[in-house]
Amino acid sequence: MKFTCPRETFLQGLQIVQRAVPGKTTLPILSGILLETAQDRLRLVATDLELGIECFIPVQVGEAGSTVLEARFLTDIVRKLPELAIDFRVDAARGQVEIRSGTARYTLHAMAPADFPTLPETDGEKMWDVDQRTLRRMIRETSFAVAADETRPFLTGVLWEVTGEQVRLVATDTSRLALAEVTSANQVQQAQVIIPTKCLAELSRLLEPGGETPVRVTLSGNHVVFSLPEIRFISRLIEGQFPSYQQVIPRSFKTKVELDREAFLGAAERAALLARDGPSIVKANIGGESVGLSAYVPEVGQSEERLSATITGDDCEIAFNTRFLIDVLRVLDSERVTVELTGRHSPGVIRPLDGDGGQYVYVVMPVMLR
Amino acid sequence: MSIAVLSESVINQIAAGEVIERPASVVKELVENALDAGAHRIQVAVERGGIGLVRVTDDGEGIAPGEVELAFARHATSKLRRVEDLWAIRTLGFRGEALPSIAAVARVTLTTRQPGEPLGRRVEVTGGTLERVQDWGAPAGTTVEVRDLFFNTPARRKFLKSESAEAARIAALLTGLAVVHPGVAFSLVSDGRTVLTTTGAGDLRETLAALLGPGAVENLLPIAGEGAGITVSGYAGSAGLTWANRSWELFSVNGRLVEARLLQAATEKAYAGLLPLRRFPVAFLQLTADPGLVDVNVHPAKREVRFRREGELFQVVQRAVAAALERQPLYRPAGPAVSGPPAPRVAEALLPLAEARDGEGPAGPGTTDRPAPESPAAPSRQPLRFLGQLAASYLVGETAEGLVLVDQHAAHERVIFDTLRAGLLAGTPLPVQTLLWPTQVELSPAEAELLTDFLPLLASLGFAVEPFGGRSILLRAVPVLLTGIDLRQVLADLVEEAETSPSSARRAPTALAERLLQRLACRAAVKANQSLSPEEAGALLEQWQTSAQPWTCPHGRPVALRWTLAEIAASFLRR
Ligand SMILES: Nc1ncnc2c1ncn2[C@@H]1O[C@H](COP(=O)(O)OP(=O)(O)OP(=O)(O)O)[C@@H](O)[C@H]1O
Ligand SMILES: [Mg+2]
Repeated sequence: MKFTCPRETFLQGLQIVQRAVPGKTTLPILSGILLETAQDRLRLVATDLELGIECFIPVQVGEAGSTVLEARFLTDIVRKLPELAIDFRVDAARGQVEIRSGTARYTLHAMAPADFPTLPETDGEKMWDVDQRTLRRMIRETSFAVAADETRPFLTGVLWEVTGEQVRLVATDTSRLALAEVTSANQVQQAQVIIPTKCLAELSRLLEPGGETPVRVTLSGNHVVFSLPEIRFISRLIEGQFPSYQQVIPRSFKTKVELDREAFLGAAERAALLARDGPSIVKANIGGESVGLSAYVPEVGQSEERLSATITGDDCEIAFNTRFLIDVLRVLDSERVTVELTGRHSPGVIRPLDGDGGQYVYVVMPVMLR
Repeated sequence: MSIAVLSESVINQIAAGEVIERPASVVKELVENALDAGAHRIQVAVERGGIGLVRVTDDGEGIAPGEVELAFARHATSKLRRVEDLWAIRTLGFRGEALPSIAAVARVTLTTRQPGEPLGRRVEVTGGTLERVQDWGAPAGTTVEVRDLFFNTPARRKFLKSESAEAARIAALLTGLAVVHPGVAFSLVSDGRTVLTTTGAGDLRETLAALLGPGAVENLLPIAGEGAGITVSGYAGSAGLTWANRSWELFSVNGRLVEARLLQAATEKAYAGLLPLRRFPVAFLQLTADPGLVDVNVHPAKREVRFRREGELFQVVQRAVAAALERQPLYRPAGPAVSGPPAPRVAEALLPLAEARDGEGPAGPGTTDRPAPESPAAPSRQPLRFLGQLAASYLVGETAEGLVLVDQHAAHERVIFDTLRAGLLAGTPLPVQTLLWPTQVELSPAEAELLTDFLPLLASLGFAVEPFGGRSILLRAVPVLLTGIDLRQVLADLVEEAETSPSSARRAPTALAERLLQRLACRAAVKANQSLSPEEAGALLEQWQTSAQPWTCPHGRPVALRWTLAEIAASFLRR
C-alpha cells in the first residue's frame, strides 16, 4: 500500500477517529487505527467495540492496501511533521510502515489489518435528518442528566424517541429529567432507543454550532449510525426499558417565576461554594418581587442572596440539590428562564424563555429538609 | 453418708482448685512471690506447657531456714498481719494460700537461701505431704520447682487445653508481668527455647521494645489521664499496630497486673472504628489509685479487681486513650518498603492463644506499620498540598515533612461515614432527595430478611423504603449524600458480612448502625480507578482532614501514608 496526502488532511482525519480509541484495552489491536485505501480516498477507522468512528479523506493512492498503526504514535508523529505532503508506504513483508515528509523519515511497526474488527453492517431501516446545530444543542441540553451508576445501564444513556413529527432526546437519573424536542416535517417513523452518552458526547464535538448540513441518523438492528459527509459514527444501543417519563412532567403549577438565567446561575454557584461537607443544597424562598436563595449548610453557615424575578401565583419555599440547578443553567443559552413549582414536595420545572427554537423541559425533584 | 470433717489433704485439694486452675496460675503465684521477695531477676522455665515442669528462680531475699516449712502451711504468710492491712496491701500476695495450694496438686521442691545465711534449705512436698527437709547449698534467693501438675487430680488435668495453648497462656502472662515490672529482668524458657527476655533496666519503652519488637515501639503513644481518684499512664498503640487477640491489652492497678472487663471495654471504645475487623489494640495502661478505691480481694486467683466509681473511671480511661490516639500522625509512616521488624519470639509463642481464646483469625502481631527511622514526633496534622493523582486511585500530596499518599476511596468513606454518623447521633435528619419514580428493588430471601433489621435505621437516615409485595421494595427517597447508591448491593454486602461474622456481636443496635454506615459509606464513596479533578481532590482532602478520626477508613484500614524527606533522601543514597 502506498499513498500521498497533505499533512493537514491526514491529521484531521486521525483526530476525528482517534476519539473511539479506548484509553485502556486488553485487545492490543484496538489501540490502533485502520488505514485502508478506497479508490481515491483513504478510510480511517477506530473502535472500542461499542463505538466505531469511520472517516474518509482524499489521498493520491499509489498502491491499494490496508494497515493498522498504533493510534498515539501515529498522531504524535503526524502532528510534528512539517506542513508538506506525506508519503506513506507499507512494507507488508517486514510488517513495517514508512512515513516520509520532506527530509524526515519514520518507520513504524504495523499490526495486521485482518485482526481489526469490522464495523457492523448497517442497512438503514429507519432514517432521520437533523441539522447539526439542533442536534448539538439537544445533546448538550440533555446528556448531562444521565445516571452515573452502572447498576441501571438504561439510565446511563440518552433516549432517542420519535413520535409523529417530534424528535426527542430524554435523559434522567431518577432525581431529575431533561427533555429536548424538535418538530420537523417528514419524520414519520416511530422509534424509541437508548444511545450511549459517550457516542453523543464525541459526536457533538464534531458538530458545528452554526452547521446547517444535516446529520443523518439511521437505526439498524441494535446499532445507531450518525452520518456526516465523509464521517460515520456507529454505536451499539443500550438495551432496557426507559422509564415512561411523560407521567412525571407536571401538567400544571401553582407558582411561576421568571428570572435572569446568568444571575440565577451565579447565585447557585456561590451557594455551592459554601458546601464543604458533601453535596450542597440550596433553599429558595419565593415571594413578592424576588427569589431568596440560601445555602443550607449545617455547621458551616448560611449564604443568602436575593434575585429579582417576576412571580405569579402562590408564595413558595423549596430546596434543591444545588448541582441539579447549576447543571441545567449552564447548558441553556437563553437569557431568561422560568421555574414552575407546585409546593415544596412536588417536582419543579425549568424552561428556557426565548430559547433558539424547539421545546425544552427540565424536571427536578426537591430535597426534603426535615 | 454420715457427716465427717474433711481431712486436711482433701481440704487443700479443694482450696487449690480455686487458686490453681492451670499451669499459668502456678507461674503467676510463683513469680508474684519472687516479686514480693524483692527479686531483680526472675527466670522461668517450663516444660510441656507447664504441665511437666514449672521452675521459677529468683534472686530475692529468700526464706529463713526455720520458716521454710511454714511457707507450705495454709494461711501462713509474712505479708499480712491484721485485717486493716487488707485495705493497704502493697504486696502481691497476702493470703498465704499459694504454696500450699500448689503443693497439694503437684510435686514441689523449694530451695532457698537468705543472702546473710551460710547455708540454704531444701523442702520437698508431694501432693501436700512433706517428704523431706534438708540443708542445701544454693545461690542466694529462691527456686521453686513444680512437677507433674494435677498428678493426683486427673479430673482437673482433663480441663487443660493443649500443651501449646497452655504455654501460650504462660507467655502472655509473663509478657504482662514483665511490662508491669520493667525494673525486673525476666526470662521465659519453654521446652528449652527462650521465649522472652527483658533487661530489667527499668525503662518501660525499652521493655515494650524487647517484647513487641523495636519497630512496634515507634507506634506507641504515651497515655496521660486523671480523674475519679485515679491517674492513668502507659502507652496506646497507634491504629496501625494491632493484634489478633486481646493478649496485648494489658492493665496494671497499683503495680498489680489485673484483668478488668471495664478497662478493656473503655480502651476498646476509644479505638472504635479505627481497627480492622477482629483485630485488637496494643495498649498498656497503668492505673494508680488510692488503695481504698480498688478491691483486689474479689477473685481467688486475684486476677480481677473491683473499682468504686466505675462509670467515672470508664470515662477517664476512654478519654485518656482517645487523647493519646489524637496524637497519632495523620499520615501514617510508610517507611522503606524493604524490611519490617522481625516478629519477636514472644509473638510466635502467643500464637496458640488465638485458637484457645478466640477460636478464629490468625494470631501474631499485625504491624501494618513499618518503623520510621526516627521517632514520629512530627506534627500530626500538617497541611497537605495536592500534587496529583496516582493510578486514578491515590491522591499524592506534600507536607513540610515529605510525601503523602492518600487512598481516595478510604478518605471519602471516612468523610461520608462521619457525616452519616453525626446525623444519626445528633438526630438531625439528613437532607433527602426525593425521586421522580420510586425505584423498585428486588431482594434475595436473605437480603429481604436482613432488611427488617435495618429498616428503622434506614428510615432515620432518610431512606423512604416501602414493601412492594413479595421480596420487592420501593425506594421513594434517598439521603442527598447517597443519591445514586445501589441499596440492594449494600444489603448484599451486609448479608455476606453476616455470613462470616459471629451472630452474637451482630445484633447489638450500635453494631447494626456501625455496620450499615460502613457499607453505605463504602458504596457511596469514590472508587479506585476513578479520576478526580484537582478541585474534587482538593475538596475531598479538605473534608477528610477535618474528620475526628481521619487515620483509618471505617473498616480500620489506613487512609494516608507518608515518606519523610529524610527517608526519601536515604533511599536515593544521598546520605
Ligand atoms: N520466692 C520467695 N522468696 C521469699 N519468700 C517467699 C517466696 N515464696 C514464698 N515465700 C514466703 O512464703 C510465704 C507463703 O507464700 P504464699 O505464696 O503461699 O503466700 P503469700 O504470698 O503470703 O500469699 P498469697 O497466697 O496471696 O500468695 C510468703 O508469705 C513468703 O513469706
Ligand atoms: Mg504468694
